[in-house]
Amino acid sequence: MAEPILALRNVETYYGPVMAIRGVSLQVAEGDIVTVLGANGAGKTTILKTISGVMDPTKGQVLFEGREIQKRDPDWVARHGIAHVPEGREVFPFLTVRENLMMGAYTRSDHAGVRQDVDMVYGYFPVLKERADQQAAYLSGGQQQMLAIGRALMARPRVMLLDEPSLGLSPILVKEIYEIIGRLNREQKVTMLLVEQNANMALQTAKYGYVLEVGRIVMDDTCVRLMESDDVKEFYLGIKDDAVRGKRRWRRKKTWR
Amino acid sequence: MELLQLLISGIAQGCVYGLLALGFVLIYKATEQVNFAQGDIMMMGTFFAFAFITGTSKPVSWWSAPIAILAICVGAALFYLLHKRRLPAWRDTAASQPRLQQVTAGGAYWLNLLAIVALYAVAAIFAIRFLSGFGMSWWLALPLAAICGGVLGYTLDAVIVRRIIGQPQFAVVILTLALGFMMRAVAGAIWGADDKGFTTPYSGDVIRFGGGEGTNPVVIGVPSLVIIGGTAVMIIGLYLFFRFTKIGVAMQAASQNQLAAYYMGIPVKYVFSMIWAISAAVATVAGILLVPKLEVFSPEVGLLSITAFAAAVVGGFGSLPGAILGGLIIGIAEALSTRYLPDILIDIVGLDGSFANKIPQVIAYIIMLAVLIIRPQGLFAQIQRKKV
Repeated sequence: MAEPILALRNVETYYGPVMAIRGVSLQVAEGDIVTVLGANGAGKTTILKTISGVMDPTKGQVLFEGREIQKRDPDWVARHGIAHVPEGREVFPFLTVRENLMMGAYTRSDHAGVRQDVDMVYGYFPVLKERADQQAAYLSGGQQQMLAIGRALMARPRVMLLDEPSLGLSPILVKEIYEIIGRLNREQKVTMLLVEQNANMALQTAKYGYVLEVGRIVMDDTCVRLMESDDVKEFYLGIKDDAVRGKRRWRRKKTWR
Repeated sequence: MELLQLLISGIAQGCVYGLLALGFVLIYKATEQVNFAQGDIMMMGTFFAFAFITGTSKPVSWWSAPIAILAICVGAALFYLLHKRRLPAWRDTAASQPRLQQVTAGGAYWLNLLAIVALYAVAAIFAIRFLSGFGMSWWLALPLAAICGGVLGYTLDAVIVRRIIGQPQFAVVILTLALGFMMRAVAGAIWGADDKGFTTPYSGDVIRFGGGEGTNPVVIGVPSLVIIGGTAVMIIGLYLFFRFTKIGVAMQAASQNQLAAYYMGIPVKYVFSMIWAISAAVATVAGILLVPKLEVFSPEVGLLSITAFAAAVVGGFGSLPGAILGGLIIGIAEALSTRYLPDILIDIVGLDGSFANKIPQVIAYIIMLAVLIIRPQGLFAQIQRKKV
């Protein structure tokens, strides 16, 4: 792998007294989509929050373009090219769609480029153009997710952190969103770190994957090979292999510790 | 036409309440802190204007300007050094707790902080002394005092209030109350606790019209009209600012979703301090405009903010138009009840005179209680559904 644009080295982060990440190392190469899979409470969101500077790790380093950024303020991190699409959308409810997008470009001062990028976002998400002057609170969940992605895109990020873009959306919408994520990666060359519970979609879209369990990375491989792994199939894709003569899942007690 | 006079006077008083309430609401919406020092910031700003207009009895000390500049430079350098150390950025997560302790633990931190506060205090004193050596015109003093008030508000947040972010609400309430008392004491020590006043280009002017045989003419004080006009100008200005400037929209964004604002790269701490500055500047202008109407003021004028707080509650804490309208309601109610209510109470209800005369003084709180009972979210509350 080439020199990674974003890397975590043995990062540990606490939520108050609770250790949420227990020594996570991962790498994101430029131009890739990398996914982190894991169940509820595995620490996926905490990883992203640690990268964007909202939470500080007690140990370990976060490297962005070879620079340590773990002690930086979130606005510094955002200014230097990491855009975060937070879990649950988190749009600005009483600002219009257009104002939301402009806030995404807060750190930029090239007006012509910003205007061009607004059109680019409208190109990817035509529905946002239709509702440009409405308050974001009145958008549907899927549209808000599109707005959150578009807003992050407005910063012209080097790396985009996507936190469960499929959360609370219908299967069709999930597919649509993931298609656009794939297109953005190909056409706009945005490197992405994607955190998901919906392992199926994530593995199809991403190139490389990590499996996170209770704050630890337990597996990592290319997504193609992860999809073939028995454990991932069983625990994350929900495919039961009948060839093993109906061996019951609970009897193979699986731990990685 | 006594009623018209009363109404104009009440609206003017209500505008002042409304502007103070606006400051309450702005700060509350953004930071969920209630700034009980609002009235005392207004009082300080008014005293700045007083000092600038009247000029001190001492001659201008030529060395106050360089000392102020020097102190500001040293303070800024120290402030920069201190800011290189991390401060708690995001207050809501439990994760910010260890960071808070980690930052505040060192003794050097408090020493630095003390040095900065002391230097800025020195700078402020000398700057104010320098500026108040001339006796400048009201037109110059008004914007200058507004700027000084804004700087005071910004500094209060950046140096003191921001540091207890993440602590319980109660701590903020006590802190701002204490800051208010301190400012009152400081103003009393510098300028004296007795009544002060300054003249403006329009002090004592009245407009008279109507009136013929048997009827009295309508007499309206120009100061009241100036308050109403000034309030309208400021509200329009603030609306345009919040709607159309980048930093204004960012202020809205930061108060609607603080975490998302951080993700967008908005410098949220700076934005919040700017909101304090705006509130303080608006309060200062309100205080300065109020002086020619009341004709006197003293360090106690800051207690107006308690009535303004009632106005903010009546309007629905968290609604900007509500703050102004709540202020107007309270102002008009005070004006009308002062004139008519005691007579009604004495004649019809049969209350004792000395008691009935006191009722209008608490009419604001009676209205507040009534609103809280009938419509607890306030009259003009913005409907906001919290996401589950």
